This record gives sequence, structure tokens and C-alpha cells, in this order.
Amino acid sequence: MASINYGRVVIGGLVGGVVANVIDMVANMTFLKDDMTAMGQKFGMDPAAMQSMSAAVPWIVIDFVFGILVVFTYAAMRPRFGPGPKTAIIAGFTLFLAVSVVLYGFTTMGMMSTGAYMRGTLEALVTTLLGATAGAAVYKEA
Amino acid sequence: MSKISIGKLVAGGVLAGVVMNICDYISNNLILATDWEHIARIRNVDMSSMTSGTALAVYVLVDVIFGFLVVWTYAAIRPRLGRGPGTAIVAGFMVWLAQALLMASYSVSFLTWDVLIRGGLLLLVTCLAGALAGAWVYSEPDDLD
Repeated sequence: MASINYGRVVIGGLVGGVVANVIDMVANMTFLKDDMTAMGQKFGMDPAAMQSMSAAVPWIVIDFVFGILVVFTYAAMRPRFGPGPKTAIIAGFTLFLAVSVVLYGFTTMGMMSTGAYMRGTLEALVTTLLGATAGAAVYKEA
Repeated sequence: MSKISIGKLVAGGVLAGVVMNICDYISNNLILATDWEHIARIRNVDMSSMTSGTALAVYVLVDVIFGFLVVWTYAAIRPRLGRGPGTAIVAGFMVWLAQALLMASYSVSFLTWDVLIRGGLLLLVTCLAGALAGAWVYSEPDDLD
């Protein structure tokens, strides 16, 4: 069995990160905008600071690191489930579940409403699965 | 290659969930208790909602799901990385990193950097302990001991 091709993991992860960043940006400026505004008000944050570049940079970087993690997960799971989009979806869903469950814990703590959680989780599912599929399409082994 | 052993996955997941619940209880109720009170105060969160019976039930359930998730990840990557504690640590780290990235994305709004770093490190311990315990139980029919 070939070992993990780490160069392709990084390239695939960057592609997945671009996809995730585009979807996140569109979602946060459209159907998640009211939820983000409500959360900012609840936490007493400055709206201008929330929309600043310094607030956006961590989100952008996190999406790229998450993209690399998803493609690494795909590469690690490939011998078990075989190459292709099905394994990419399994890898993406595994990590999506880890994230959405934490977010549900935060929701229980009163961080956001159930409606905001549902919308945010749906968006995260789409982002993760599309990012995983795009990244996996780039990943190859010798 | 044999398929994922569902029975062992359940057994390993339950054990991992128990271990993760114990670790999280120690982390959040003993080590980080005052930090969570501080977060609740500065973020206008009702402390009683964080410690209600419903919230506690959710935290327990969340850790059980994490238990299954780390053992599932371990089982899924075993053919690539081999069986044993090394692969369990990789599986635990993968699940932890996904969670830590989410926590980091909320560091600018909900959490403080201090809580993020200390909470993230304690969460790493929780994930690794759960993964090692669950992987210890998990086996497949063609394992040769």
C-alpha cells in the first residue's frame, strides 16, 4: 500500500479551503447575517470590529487548516473505503459531526438560538462536504 | 481486509465515552469552573442554563457521541496506519483538531484566548484518553494476537 502523499494533502487541502472560504463568505453575508448580528449584540461586540479584516483573518486561516485536515482524513480512510467521492463524504461527515456536536454543546450553554444553530450546522455540512469532495478530487497517490 | 466490527465499535465507543465524560467533568467542573463563570458573566449568558439538568444531559450525550466518533475514526484509518496506540493517538488528534478549530473560530466572540488555550489543551487530553481507551477494546476478526 502506498503511503500518504503529503504534498497532495496540502494541495487538496488548499483547494478544499478555497471552497470552504467562498461558501462561508457567501453564507455569512446572506442567510447567516442576522444570526451573526444577533450573536454579536448578545456578546456586546462592536459591529465594526466583527466585520473588520482582523476578525475575518482567523476564519479564513481556520478554513484552510480545516481543508487540510479533511483531505488528510480522506487519505487516511482511503484504504478502508476506497478512493472516490464516497470516501470524501465519509471523511467530511466524520469531521462535520465532531464540529456540530461541540456547537450543540455551546448552544445548550446559551451561546446561540436553536434556529441559528440549525442554519449554521446546515451551512457547515454543505461547506464540509463540498470542501472534502473538491480536496479529494485533487488528492492522488503513486 | 475485514470490515469494521460494529459490535467492537459500540463497545469501544461506550468505553471511550465514559473516559471522555470523566475527563470533561474534571476539566470543566474542577479546573475551568471559574473560567466558565467568567465567560458567562462577560458574555451575558445565564449561568443556570449552563448548569441545568438539560445542559448536563447534553454534555454527557455529547461525550458519548465523541467516544463513538474517535473509535470510528480509529477503525476507519486502521488499514492505512496499522492497529495500536499510535493510530489511536492520530484518530484522537484528528477529532480534537476539528473541535479546536471550531473553538478557535469563536475565540473572537464567545471564548477568551486564555480559555481557548487551556480548554483546548484539556480537550486534547480528553480526546487522546478516549481514543486510547476505545482503541484498546476495538478489534477485528483477522487480528492476530
